[in-house]
Amino acid sequence: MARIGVFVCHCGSNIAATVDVRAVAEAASRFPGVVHSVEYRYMCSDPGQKMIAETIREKDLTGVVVAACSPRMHEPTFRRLAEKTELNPFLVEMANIREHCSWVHDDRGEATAKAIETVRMLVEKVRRNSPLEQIRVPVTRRALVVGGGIAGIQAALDLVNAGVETILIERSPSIGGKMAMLDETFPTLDCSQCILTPKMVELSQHPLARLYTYAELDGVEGYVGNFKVKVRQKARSVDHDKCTGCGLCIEKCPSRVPSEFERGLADRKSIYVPFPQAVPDKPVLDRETCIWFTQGKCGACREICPVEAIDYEDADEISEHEVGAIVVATGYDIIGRSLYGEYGYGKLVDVLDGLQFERMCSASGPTSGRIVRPSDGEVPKTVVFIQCVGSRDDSKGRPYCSKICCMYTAKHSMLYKHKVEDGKAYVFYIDVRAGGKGYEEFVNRAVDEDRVVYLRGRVSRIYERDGTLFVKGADTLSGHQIEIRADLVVLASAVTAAEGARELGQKLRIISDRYGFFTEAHPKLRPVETNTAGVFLAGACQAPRDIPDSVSQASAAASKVLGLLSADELVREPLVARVNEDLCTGCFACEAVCPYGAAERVKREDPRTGAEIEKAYMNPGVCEGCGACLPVCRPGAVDLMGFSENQIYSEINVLTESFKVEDEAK
Amino acid sequence: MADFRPRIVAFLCNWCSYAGADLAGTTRKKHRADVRIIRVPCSGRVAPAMIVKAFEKGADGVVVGGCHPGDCHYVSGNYHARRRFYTLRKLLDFMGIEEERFQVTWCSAAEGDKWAETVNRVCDLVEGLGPLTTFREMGEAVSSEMREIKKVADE
Amino acid sequence: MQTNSESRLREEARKLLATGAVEVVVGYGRGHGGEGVRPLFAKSADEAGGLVFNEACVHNLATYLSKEPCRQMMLRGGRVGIVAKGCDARAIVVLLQEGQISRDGVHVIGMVCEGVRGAGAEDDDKAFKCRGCGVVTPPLYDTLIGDGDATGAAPPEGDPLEDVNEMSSLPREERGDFWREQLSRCIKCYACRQACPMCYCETCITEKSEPQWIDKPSHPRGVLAYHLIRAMHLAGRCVGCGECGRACPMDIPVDLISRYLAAEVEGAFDYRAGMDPEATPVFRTYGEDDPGDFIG
Repeated sequence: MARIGVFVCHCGSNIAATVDVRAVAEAASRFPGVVHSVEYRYMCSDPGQKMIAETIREKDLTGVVVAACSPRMHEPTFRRLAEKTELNPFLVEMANIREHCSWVHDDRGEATAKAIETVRMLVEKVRRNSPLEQIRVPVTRRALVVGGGIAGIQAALDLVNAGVETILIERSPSIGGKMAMLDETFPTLDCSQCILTPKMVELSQHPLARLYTYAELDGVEGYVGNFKVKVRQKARSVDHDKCTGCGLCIEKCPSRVPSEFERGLADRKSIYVPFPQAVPDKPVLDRETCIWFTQGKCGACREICPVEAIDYEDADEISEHEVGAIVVATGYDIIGRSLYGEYGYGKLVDVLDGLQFERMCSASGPTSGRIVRPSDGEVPKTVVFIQCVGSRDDSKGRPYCSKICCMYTAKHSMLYKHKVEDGKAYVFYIDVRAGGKGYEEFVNRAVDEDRVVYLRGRVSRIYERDGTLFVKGADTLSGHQIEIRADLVVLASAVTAAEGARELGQKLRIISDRYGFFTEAHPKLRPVETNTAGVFLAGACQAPRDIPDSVSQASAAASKVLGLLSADELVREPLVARVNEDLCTGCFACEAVCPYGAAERVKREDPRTGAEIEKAYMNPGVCEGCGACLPVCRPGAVDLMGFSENQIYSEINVLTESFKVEDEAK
Repeated sequence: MADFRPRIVAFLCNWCSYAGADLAGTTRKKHRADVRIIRVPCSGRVAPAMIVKAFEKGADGVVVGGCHPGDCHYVSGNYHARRRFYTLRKLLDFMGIEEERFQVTWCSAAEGDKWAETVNRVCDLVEGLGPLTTFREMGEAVSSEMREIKKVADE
Repeated sequence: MQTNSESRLREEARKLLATGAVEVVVGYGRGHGGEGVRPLFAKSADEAGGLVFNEACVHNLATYLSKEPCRQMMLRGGRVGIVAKGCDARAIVVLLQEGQISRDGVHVIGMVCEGVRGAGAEDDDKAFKCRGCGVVTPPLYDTLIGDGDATGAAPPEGDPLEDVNEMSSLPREERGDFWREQLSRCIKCYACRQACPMCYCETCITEKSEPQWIDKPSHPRGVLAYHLIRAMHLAGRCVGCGECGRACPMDIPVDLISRYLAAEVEGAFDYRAGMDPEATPVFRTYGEDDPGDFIG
């Protein structure tokens, strides 16, 4: 038997000034199932709450409706109150007679009638509420970080320093990411490798960190707190336990290919260490270019290795791990030089992209830090830097701003001027975006101290004649077309998501936008979470981002992970979907529409034939309670706790009954 | 129809449109009182059976409120809803019920004004269409064939 | 119809049954008293001799796959052979998409079909749905009887949606009057549901009491809801076989409703049910550019 208590709040005069609260309480006292109905000035106040608690006890209530403000405001308040009584918190509902009623209607009669109907609706709903218990899901206290750039490294460091065992996977042979490629970083011009390498070493030496380099994420199963991941360690062909890092194999290797790290400005061998400070600093063998693997000849490295570490029989190895949370830090790439025919489709040798110029500046780079023209090795006396190449471009490129280019272009121009004091540096810009701490001052240094010339306008064409690059552009502030004869041009190409990011995202069931950047759960309030519980984002994989912000975000992601892993059990709201297997036809439309992958296929025995059939099961650890599975379930096998079929039906039924009453009254 | 007060049922999604309606309240944006709101977690939760039942039980108009495309708190519920409701409207129209009686609106938590305007717009629109009589008339309808049969039986 | 289709069909069915490749061949046999045809469940090579195929073969036999007797048979591991015209094969594709049958549980004997007779039609009057048919050759089959290209099999000319369009071009009020009149005769016998291969839910939504979305009594007020909800459940799944309308004992053209909706779905979402077993059913997915002008 239902014993519902209705508590109508005045909310001072917020409700009572427009709605006749006494009439509402009076009408409610006559609703079927209601055994107690009162009004009070402030239900959410201490005495108000106490009154409700006492009434629950005295009248042995089976449900409570608080007619007051929006449930989005105080439903948690009154449910928490119920937790302290015998009444299950999910047997408490709120009727919104303030935001949706007293605050938006003038006519007392209309507002009161609407309030009465709304209370009636919620009384009918709560009569069909089920007592629900919060769902507890066990949590594995281990984390996975995908991507070994600065964001991944920072997140992993925060986690291992907090005592959480962390696995870090990086697909290239070394951790370090793009930051390892940089020379000096803005806005301080301190050496990138110098600040990065200590972190790389700290991580690799930490007892709780397990690094898998030259490895990829093969597969992910499970759900928040209980992921099962497969890591594919690609065959290195070098036994890192035996290898001493002597480098003889690299010396002897006859096969040269363009180096990814040097962005094509220099070569590497097929057996290689990507850069001197690599972690681990032992080589891997690139089978796709190795003469032994492609032609069956050579084998020089194996012969020369003094400790017999080279193993051509090495194979990919897959290991499985259980983790409770995953941080995605797959970083970025830049689109390179070939997008624009106006800039030579990448064929003009002396037109470089930002990362190539960065390598050229680096003391351990292809030119040992000398800025030279790739064509003839001469020192360029005039260098043109072009911003926004492929960014802020609706037609051919990306509409978004790549965020870091204004800053690194200023940096590049300064680095150039520091190395070639009598050189001329020009920067073509549309805007200069220098919003970070010390950023504006940094750009001004380029202009004031290093006398870099900033030209506001776009470059319409670059062509080459007799070894000189002709750069035609506009200077909109002076209103002139200009042509600069340059020795070297650097394009600040648009930042994009790393290659393969989207496919990785699909494995993790996280969304990426049309440019491959991962989508956060909420752009302002939840920037490091994704739509999949337990998977977090750090760094430029989410959007173009500089080093300070990447590091901040990485720590933010780590703190979310630590929160998740801080208890042995994850407590979730029980407002989830439930399948009545008797009605389920095994069509799995639910599986198709669920954005969280909460639908699972469970094997059952068909009672009449004994055959093995499949039914749907909604995992309460994953289900977020949206109810998208209900409209597609034709027999109505799946129901949603808290907004169930019966509850919603009863709300419709009651409302429209009162329509009938109005009809008859006429 | 001087005395006709339209009866409108609105299914509003918790994260956007219900919150938008709350905002209309918080900003005291007055609007007509003919709409009754049922809270759902997502517009994707709203099944055609709910819309049909509301009409059958006497609603003259039904509104479903959801998040703007791309903003759904549950990722894709509103996209599924959009496809489903387009189809339902076509069906209602085919069966002789004005499809405008079933309104869908994308109303974010920041659009209190929009909710108030939507309420007024839909109430005015349904008022103009008059009461939905289809279901009631169905309840009273007896086909000409049956009338013939009855006539013969009575004789 | 193709002249030697029938004999080739019998040969194929005999072979399947004799070798034990299937436990039963579901096809058409001569009707009672020699008139028309009726479904035939041939369990032996002998019985397969009774199979026929002609213009009277209207029935969509796929309905026997998702329901009894074949459903339990297939669950027990038995294979079923089935004679399928284009529209029937489309229904089989939908059943495959929805996991109701397994691909290797059925052997589809696809029949090239030049159209079947409409309900209550004269000799040459083919059903509306057969006009301009796009599946003269069934979209799915294991064996194909009748060669569409070589013998120039062609469906009757015309627009398969002619009757649907006629209805939808009427003013809405007239349509409302029409359906009010028609549905007032509905006795809620659910023959339309039973005839439809896509209505396979063992406990249908109409049986639900908690809550009772669809009124159970055959009182006219609740009848419209039944037809509306059934039409929505079939949206994107109806293959236009017209069996529901043919089955109705009160002669209500209920197939018009689902065939209309199928055409709308095709127009708006570029999806036709039952053409591709690998396709994602239209209401299990969405398009970012789905029509949304109706949304305020």
